[in-house]
Order: sequence, then C-alpha cells, then structure tokens
Amino acid sequence: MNQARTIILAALSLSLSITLCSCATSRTTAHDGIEKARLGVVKIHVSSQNEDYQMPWQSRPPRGGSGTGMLIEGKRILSNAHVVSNARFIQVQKDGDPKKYIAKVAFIGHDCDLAVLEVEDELFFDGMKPVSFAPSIPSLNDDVYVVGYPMGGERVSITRGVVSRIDFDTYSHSGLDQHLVMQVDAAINPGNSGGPIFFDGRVVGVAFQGLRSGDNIGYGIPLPVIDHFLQDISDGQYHGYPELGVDFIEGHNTGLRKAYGMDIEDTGVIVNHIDPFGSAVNALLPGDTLLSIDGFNIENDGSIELDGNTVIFAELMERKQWGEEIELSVLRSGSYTNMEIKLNNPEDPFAYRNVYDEKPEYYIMAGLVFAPVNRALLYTVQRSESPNRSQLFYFSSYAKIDNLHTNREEFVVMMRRLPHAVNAYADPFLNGVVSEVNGMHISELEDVKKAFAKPENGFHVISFEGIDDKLLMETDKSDKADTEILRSYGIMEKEHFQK
Amino acid sequence: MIIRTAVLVLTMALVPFRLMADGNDNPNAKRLLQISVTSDSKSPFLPWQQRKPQERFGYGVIVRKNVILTTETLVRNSKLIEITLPGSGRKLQGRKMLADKQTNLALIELLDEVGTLPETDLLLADRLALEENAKVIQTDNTSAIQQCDGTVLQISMARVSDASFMILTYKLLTEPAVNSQGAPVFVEDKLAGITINHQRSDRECLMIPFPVIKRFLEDTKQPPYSGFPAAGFVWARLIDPAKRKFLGLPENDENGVQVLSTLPGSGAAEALEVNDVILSIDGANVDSLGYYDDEAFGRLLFSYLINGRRSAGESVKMTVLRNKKRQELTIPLRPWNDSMSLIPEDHEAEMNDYIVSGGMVLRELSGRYLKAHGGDWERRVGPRLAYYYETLRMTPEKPGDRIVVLAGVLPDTINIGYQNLRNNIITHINKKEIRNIDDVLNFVEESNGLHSIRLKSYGVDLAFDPEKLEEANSRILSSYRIPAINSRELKTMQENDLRIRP
Repeated sequence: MNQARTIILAALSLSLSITLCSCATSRTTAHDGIEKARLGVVKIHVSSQNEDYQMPWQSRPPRGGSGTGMLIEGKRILSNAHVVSNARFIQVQKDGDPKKYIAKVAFIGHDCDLAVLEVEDELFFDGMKPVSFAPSIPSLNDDVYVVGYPMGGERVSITRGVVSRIDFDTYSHSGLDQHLVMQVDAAINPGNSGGPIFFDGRVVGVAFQGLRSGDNIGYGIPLPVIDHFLQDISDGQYHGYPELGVDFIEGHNTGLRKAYGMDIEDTGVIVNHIDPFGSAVNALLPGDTLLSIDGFNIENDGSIELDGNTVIFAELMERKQWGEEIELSVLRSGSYTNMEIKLNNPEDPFAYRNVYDEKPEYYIMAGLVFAPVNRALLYTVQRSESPNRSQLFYFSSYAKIDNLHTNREEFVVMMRRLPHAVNAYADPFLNGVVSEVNGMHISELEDVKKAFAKPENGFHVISFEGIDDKLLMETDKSDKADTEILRSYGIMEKEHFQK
Repeated sequence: MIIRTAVLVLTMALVPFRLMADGNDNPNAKRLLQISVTSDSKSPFLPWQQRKPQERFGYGVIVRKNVILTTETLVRNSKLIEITLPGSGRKLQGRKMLADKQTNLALIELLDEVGTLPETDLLLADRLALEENAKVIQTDNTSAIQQCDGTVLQISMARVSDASFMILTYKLLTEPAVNSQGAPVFVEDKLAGITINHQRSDRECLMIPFPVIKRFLEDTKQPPYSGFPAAGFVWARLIDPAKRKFLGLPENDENGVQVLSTLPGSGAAEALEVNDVILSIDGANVDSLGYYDDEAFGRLLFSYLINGRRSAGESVKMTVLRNKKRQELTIPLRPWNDSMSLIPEDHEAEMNDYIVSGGMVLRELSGRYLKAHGGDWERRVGPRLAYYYETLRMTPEKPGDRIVVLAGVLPDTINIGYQNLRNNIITHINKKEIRNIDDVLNFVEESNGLHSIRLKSYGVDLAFDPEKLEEANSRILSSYRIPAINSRELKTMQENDLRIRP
C-alpha cells in the first residue's frame, strides 16, 4: 500500500488576512507573530546527487532544489532530512538578503525526516532571530500558518489553514517509519519542506509532505517528533528511534484471554511475534500478555491514556530515546512479573528503508552485478515483470517472520547482468536471492567476493533460493571477461563495500 | 516488363477460390452433434456457496453406438448435458461418462434413443502429417452443417487447458474459422482429431489428434481409466556451454537435457537424480532443447516418448550421463494427477473441503483459490502464498501434504481480534500439527470442536471460548446462511436430501 505521498521541497508563510470572525486583537497578534517568524525563516538551496541503484557504480546526474529552514537556538537551522539528503552543496539565504551562505549538515535523522544545518559565516546570523517552539501541540481546528519558499515565486510565502488531524502515519522519506503527523489544510507545496508551521506565533511543526491524490492535505512533523530529534542529538550523535519490536494480538477475545490466563479485570495485549532485531528480543516471549508500560495501563486494543488522551501504545515509544528503559508489567504462564527493557536495538538489515548519503554496495563478477537487497531494488522489481519476483518478495517481506534471515547478515541479489558472451545464459536468474557461490553459504555481499576466489574444478557455481537450476561459468573464461566487461561498460570500480 | 505484370495480375484473378464444400457430402456429417452444457461451480472463498450456473456450447462426435466424444472443458462441472442434432431443434439428454483433463477429452453417453444416428464404430485416422489437409465439420449459425478445409501447421507437445503435463497437439489453419470446441476433424472418412481451442478472429485452432484419441478410447474400454502416465521430473534445456562442460558433455555434441528435480512419489524419483543428463529415451536421441525426431510427427519434444508412446504401468529406458558416466536406467511410469500436488490447481470447481468454526473458514490452498483473487492475485494474497504456489506447488514433502489456509473470517463476537488474518497459513489446530484439511476435520471430530488455531510463524494459539463456541457456531451458520459446519456434514446432508426442506 504505497500511498501517493509526495515530499515537498518548500515552506509556507504567514497568512496576511484573517477570517472575518476573528477579533482585532488576534489580528494584531498574528501580524506580530508573522514579523517575528520571518526573521527566523530561511531558504535553502541544495545541489544534490542521488545514487543510481540500478547502476550502483555511478551516481545520477546532480540536480538543484530548494527548501525552507528555520533558525533555532544555538545558531542552528532546522529543516527536513529530505531537503538536504544526498546533498553535494548547500546554501542558505535570508529573506531580502541577496547573499547566500554556505551551510553544512550537522545532524540528520532519516527516520524522522529532520536535519540540523550549521553555517560557519557569523554574518549570516545578523538580524536573525530564532523561532520559538510552542509548549504543546495545537488542538484540532486551531488556526495555523505555514511560512516558507514554495514554488510559484522567489520571495517568502505564507499560507494558512487549520489543524485538520493529528495522526500516526508513514514518513515517506524513509518509506517505512511511522510517527506522529499533523495534517493541515494550509497549502504545502514543493519548496515548503523544512519550513515552520506556526500557531499563535510559535512553531508547532515542520512542513514536510503532502498527499498527491487529495485536496488541501498537507502534513507537518509535530512538536513531539521535533523534540525527540533535538533531544537525541544533544549528546552530539543521532541514534534514531528505538524499536520495541513486538507484534501483538488485541486482548478482546474471551477465548484468547482464557487461554492465556488473563483475569477478568486484566486488560492488555498478547505478544505473538518478537522482532529478532527489536529491543524486546531477549526479554519478552510469544504468549506474554503486556498489561502496562511505564505504569500506564494498556487497554485491550493496545491503547494507553497519555496526557488525558487515548493514544496507541506506539506513541509512548515516540518519546523514548536510545538507551532508555521501559518498564513492562507482564502476565506470563499465569504469573505476573515486571521487567525493564533497555531500548537499544541493533541496526536491522532486513528493514528496507530508503537509504541516503551512502554509496550503494555492489560487487561485479564477469558482468553479473551482486548487491544487497534494498528498497530501491524492491521498488524497481515491483514495477516490472522481472523473473524471480516471488522469491525476492517472499524473502524480503518474510525474512524475520518465517526466520529466513537465520545465518545471514543480509540478502544478496544478482540484480543485473552486463551482457557479454560469458554470461549469456544468466537472465533467468536475475533478481534471484543468492544462497551459495562455489559451495559457500552467502551471508553478506563480501562472501560473494570471497567465494568467487575459490572456484570448484574450474567452474563458478551460483545457487539461488527457490530456483532448482544453477548458474555456471567457466573460471578461466569468466575471469578473463571480468576486466573486459568492466572496461567496455566504463566501470571504474569493480566493487564497493561499506565496511 | 509492363506486359508481364499485367499477365500476372490476370492469372491471379482467374484462380477459382472455393471456400468450402457442402458439409453433407461427408458421410461422417451424420456423426456431428451440438452439445450445450449447463455447469455450476462453488465459490473458492465460501466453499458451500454456489456460483451462478453457466451455459457452454460445443460439438461432439459419435464414436460408437450412443457414445459421443467431446472435450473435457465443455463438460466440466456439468449439471445438465443437452444434445441437439444439427438442423433439428430436439434436445436429447446426455450423461458424462468420463472426462480427462490431461488430454482434454471426454465421453458422453446419449440417454435418449434416436433411430437415425450411426451405430457403427467411427474409424480413426492413422496418419496426418505436416502441411496435409483435413476437413473440420461444424455447423453455421443456421445450424446447417459446414465443412472447413484445414491444413496442419504445426505438430507439437503442448499443455492443453488445465493439464498437468504436455501432450501431442496439432495446430490447424482452417477456412472458414472453427467456431467451437469439440468439432471433429476428418481425413477421408476417418477421425483425425477434435478441436479444443479456437479463436473466432483467428483461423488457427488446436486439435487433439488421433493418436491421443486412440489411446484414450482404448483406455476407456478397460475400466478403471488409468490415464496418461508421467515420469515425474522437472528438466532444463542444456544450451549453456559452461553447464554442458560442467556436466561432462563432449564439446561438439548437442544432446541432452538436465534433470532439475523429481516429484515425490513418481517413477523418476526412484530412478533419476538431480543433474542427470538425459541423452536418449527408448533409443531416441534427445537434443539440448529437449527435441527428438519422431518418425511420424517430425521434431517433437521428448515427453511424447513418455506419455505418447507408453501407458501407466509401463516404463521407459533412458540413457543418462550421471557424474560424467553413461548409465542405462529404467523409469517406471505412473499416472499423475493434480491432486498429488502440494497446491493442486483444482480446476474442477467442485465443492472444496472446508470447515467453518468460530467464524473462521479453513480450506486447502489451490491454484483456483489463489487466482480467484483476480488478475493481480499475487499482490492480493501476499508474497508468501505467491511464493509457495510458484516454487513449491508440485512438491509435497510427504504424499498427501497440503497447505491449509484461513480463507476468511465471518465476523462474530467469538472471533473478535482475529478478523484481519485472512490468507494466513494454518499450521496447527487444537495444538496439533496438521498436514491437510482431512487432519483438521479429523482432529475437530476427535476433540469435539475447533478450539484453537495457530498461524504459520505465530507464537500464540488463537483460542475460541469453549463455553461460547457451540452457541456461536449455530449463530454464525444461521446468520450467514451456511448449510453445514463442514464439507463432510454437507455431503451427508446432500446424500440424504436433507437440504431440501418442505
């Protein structure tokens, strides 16, 4: 279910007129707020270059773009991660100032689509005033305005609307992570990204994405997510959100409640799967009933009451930092226990987020391009009638559920063939998940390289998951063709490994 | 030059172009019958539910007294078979005697007596080669007999309709186009085949030829029908020189195909090994694409040597290269049918075995069930089921293994919290591992109800409140209008006519 979410490289600005029913005092306040706000909003010019996952040895052509940012305390500029991802050159510009100042990314959080930039030239900060954040998120129907530099003109722009909804939704920058979002009906257009959403003169969100198919639906990153990010980087490093890594069944069903020993007054949810890369991995077990978290009672649908609102349990996790602990009260095999779980899950190679600011990994042998499975590859295969789709989708989607990841650091795929006589019969194996090369189990991309160094009786033998047939190449011919192919396709690097 | 061209044009214009002869010239025209079939099928999602009956039309040919040969696809799931004589409006009753999906052939018994129909056995042709001509007999839209001229375009092994394996087929080019399945094709007075696929816009049609019909008819004379055999292995062409060298084949040789896997329980599983290279079968050399030269039909895929020349119970001799050494092997041939698969295609569209308890609808996974999700079924059923179907379909670990899925949840208080789990694989019920729907029905019977189910990779058993289950089941059956809690009960009811309430 890929929603047509667009990321918007632009920011909104203040609304100059106010509805007729608004009183005179609120008009004055609004204008004051707008003036203050303008002093803290900047345009960000970016030259970026995305990686080419189809031809991972090169990057795609550079392109220019712009977004919005806001000055916050500490002479830092807050914007969206997607505004400055894969950036090669960044400049910031104040309203009415012809000079552009060079900026650098200090911190970037791809999972929450936020970034902090720094500007070396002190002159830049002359006459600027950091924006201030509101103490709490606004309520539905509160008037908000968006300041920024969207398409349609050069100078600062302001649009206004109300808070339509506070919800949990996917952040399309990573494509995978879900956090709180604030939906507004103020126009948010390309260029608005990274700009502030103001309520009553103070920032309540960062404009970041829109819904392509809808009308007047724009999304902002609300305060709790911004706070989390700024707090996370306060120790000089961005860690990201910890994951508990628990799938559960709601605790409504009386049959299930009885089977798992829940008392009539107990409310909670029943764990059915533990993510091997989550924080709960060595603590919780399938069949455990989670009754409370950090002292908040968990309802049968998994909700908790937080600050007077009923919210899903994941919202509490939104407040947690890497390394913090949560306290769970658990019903396990008929007895009630409390446990503390430290939140510091390892990086998960089987969660396929969009990747930025990294050169893609690959290894080329005799014109066969091997690479770890990544989101870009899955996306390409999804839109084509390529062979071995079913194997690739099953392995990537069910890696952790059906335990396909065991003994593996990542899945390696033969993602492309650079045609040459030596690999003329390789097409039926494209997009196959490599299981063995020359009898060696492939746990990560580097194993492919190691295994090709040890051919068996003059042959390279490549096996794939779910494919009976094997791909074969004669060692002498393929080794000879290897450099020939690289040269003829103009590839300077045979491989790139991250480590 | 100018003169020459003019002459050419004139000559062409003078060639008489006769489309068709009057069908009644052919003495076998009397053997042609029009058949209309009313069929019904059951819903794959709610197996007790009937789908709208459908009507199909085709032809049949009288092969012996009161016996009509037609196609399996025409009579599939038939509830009523009506037979009309061309040019007559009278409807005669027919009964399906036998239908074989592998060959797409079926026999119908004519139940009504009609004095005017031929009573002798129809003779079968003994040759029809490439580029030779034959006559197809059918009716036009006024129900008059029409004869089409046909030429053999291609003779090849092909998978017809929903067969598990390929059989011998002919492709004909006809004028006018063939308008339905089951139309007989004659060479002189002998039956050369019956048509199976036709496209109105296209003059090409596929035909099941006389060698297949001959064996089919002979087989039917000695019940039970044993069907066409299979060796039971998956093979690959051997065109990659690197692979040929790896397997030890000589450099300038172009023989042999590679065995990739064998199907459990098949004759091939006993005799063949993975990576065997099949060089010849019963003395005929098999080339690297899998073809051999057949005396009668020319270049043909080797599978004809197995199911075209041999019957179930017989065996074939193969010369294979195993570990670079030649070996002579004997492969016993057995009938293979769809129901031996882990995920059968299940084209029958009969009622599938099911149980609906606690509102959970459990059934076995089949090709028909998956494809009923629509053109984008792979996306709709999710990557796991798509993968199972595409890679594991034919190979159960043990004979009789099937995949049991949760085909749906009929919402009720008993299944609150379980209502979004459709299309998951079920591995256990009542905490016992299951291999197929029979296990489910047996375990439920043994322990008096479906008390819990476990989905693949789920760490918990989805339990149903034992105190409320029975009540919930009768509530669900009556509110969702389900005739019986499981297929066994439904079959008993149908046998005893309990369903028809006064």
